[in-house]
Amino acid sequence: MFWLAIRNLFQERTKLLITIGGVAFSVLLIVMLNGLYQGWNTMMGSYAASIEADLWVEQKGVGDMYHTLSFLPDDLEARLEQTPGVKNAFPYLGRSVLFTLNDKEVTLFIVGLNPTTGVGKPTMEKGTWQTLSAGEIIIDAAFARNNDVMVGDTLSIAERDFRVAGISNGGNLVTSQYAFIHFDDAKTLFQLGNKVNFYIVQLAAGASAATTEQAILDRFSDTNVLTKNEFVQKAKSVIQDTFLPIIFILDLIALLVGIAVIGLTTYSATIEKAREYGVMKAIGFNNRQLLTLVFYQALIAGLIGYAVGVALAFPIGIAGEQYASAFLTNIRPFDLAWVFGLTALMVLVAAYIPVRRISRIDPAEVFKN
Amino acid sequence: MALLVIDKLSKSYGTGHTKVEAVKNVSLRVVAGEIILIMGPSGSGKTTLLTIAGGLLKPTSGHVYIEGTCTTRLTEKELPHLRLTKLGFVFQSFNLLGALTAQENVALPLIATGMARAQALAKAKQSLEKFGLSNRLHHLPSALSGGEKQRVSTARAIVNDPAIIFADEPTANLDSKIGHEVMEMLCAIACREQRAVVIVSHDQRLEEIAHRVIEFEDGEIKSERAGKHGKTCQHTR
Repeated sequence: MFWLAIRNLFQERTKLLITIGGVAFSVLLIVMLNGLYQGWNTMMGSYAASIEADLWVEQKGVGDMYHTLSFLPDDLEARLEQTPGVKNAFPYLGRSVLFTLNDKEVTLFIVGLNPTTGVGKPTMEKGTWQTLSAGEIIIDAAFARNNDVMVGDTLSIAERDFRVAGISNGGNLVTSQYAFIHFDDAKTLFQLGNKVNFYIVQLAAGASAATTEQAILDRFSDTNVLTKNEFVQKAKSVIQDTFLPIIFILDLIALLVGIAVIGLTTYSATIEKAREYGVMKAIGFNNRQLLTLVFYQALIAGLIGYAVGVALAFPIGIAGEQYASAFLTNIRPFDLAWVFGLTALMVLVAAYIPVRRISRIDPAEVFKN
Repeated sequence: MALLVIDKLSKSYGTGHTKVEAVKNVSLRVVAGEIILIMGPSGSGKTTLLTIAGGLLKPTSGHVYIEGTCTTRLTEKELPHLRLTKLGFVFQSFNLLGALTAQENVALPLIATGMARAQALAKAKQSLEKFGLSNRLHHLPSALSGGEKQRVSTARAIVNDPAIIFADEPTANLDSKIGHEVMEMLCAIACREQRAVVIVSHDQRLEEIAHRVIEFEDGEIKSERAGKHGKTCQHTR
């Protein structure tokens, strides 16, 4: 039956190309949307995941680090280090800053970096963070590319000039990027006074995260303590909460487009070949065999469309990122697997109507000329 | 033994004033090696009779027996298997599948039985060679002449070794020379292979190969006479 399905499909090459194109488009759309979602999701959390922290301490009741400000007293560091289970506590400064560059408004998430401890350090593409001095800034490669900024250029942020001392990577937050200035500069720029934003806690050897977390909460009631994983998930939450429902709807639309394309082309091919199916019935093919034939035809077209869609997704993802830095895709094998399952579903649903039509074909009709 | 027995067969469509009786109380017996020609004007019900006898249509009343099996009592799921194993069909418009080569078209009934493709193709090749089409195995129907198409259609009809061949206007679309070749072919199938052949046609030339000629009109058998088979057949001499 499989070879017969292939013969039938390739007899109508234009129709086959339309079917494959429709499925490929549908698969491409689903893979790219989910690739973008995963890319953004990963990117939002990747910097936080790179920081050597066991626990994050933040002000009680704040949301994610990119959209709400956490304020904690700067004298908490010493008290935290006296808490059982805590080896080190480091103050962490970071907030989004909007400023004008080349006559347009841009946003950076600026981190105050202490070059002595290196806590919250960036991954460098050009230059080093260890020599970061006052009045200097390390910007993300995506920001540099988007705004045509190079090492040695000057950025004016909140009426202060910062010389670009290095380029980092892995800090693209889609709508903004990470930048790193000296810890003391950050404290002045953010006008924090005797406050800091977060504390990063490293545990003593053998200490339990849960016990230490509880110990901190018991001592400092105005704080909230997150494990590293919880903090990363919180950083990602903005993408998950905002984009996931949109992506779900777009995926659904793409799925329906795919079903419609395979369904319509398979159905019209079935109508055109109704007489041939009638002949096969008259010869002695049973309904089950003919239904298998139609299903195979839809399946083959679906699989080729899937392969083409997936094959196109990778170069389009790479080209897209070159064109727009926000076009960050992360196409995971797991996503390809479930999109494959979705394609199979597409095929099953699309084959249903032609299959019903075939089961109703009267073989006696083939004697009418 | 009669391969085909049609017993008091009737078929009607509609009810009341719109009721049409396509076949009325028809009985017929066909034995192995026999060629029956059913003739009659268009709309006389001869094709309806053929489709009922071929297990493609249910009668309103009466029965059809093929090799002793009452086919009118078979379910819709059982009938395809009967057609596949006991019956062969030759159509007026050949009805070959356009995407398949001549060899693949002939292999189709074997594939339907579940035979492996390679084995089915090998058997189809042998069958086509018998019909003088060894040089047309890989041709699509669009590349075959009318006579070649009908030979492929006939090869397909007998490849599963059926007991009865039903042929609907087998010479209608063919010129006289090719038509004669097809007649010879059907005659050989009946005489050499001892199959029953039931032909429905307007073509009076077919009387030459028929053992019996049945005149059909208004759904009924109007007359029956002997054909010219005995005088013309080359296969039994």
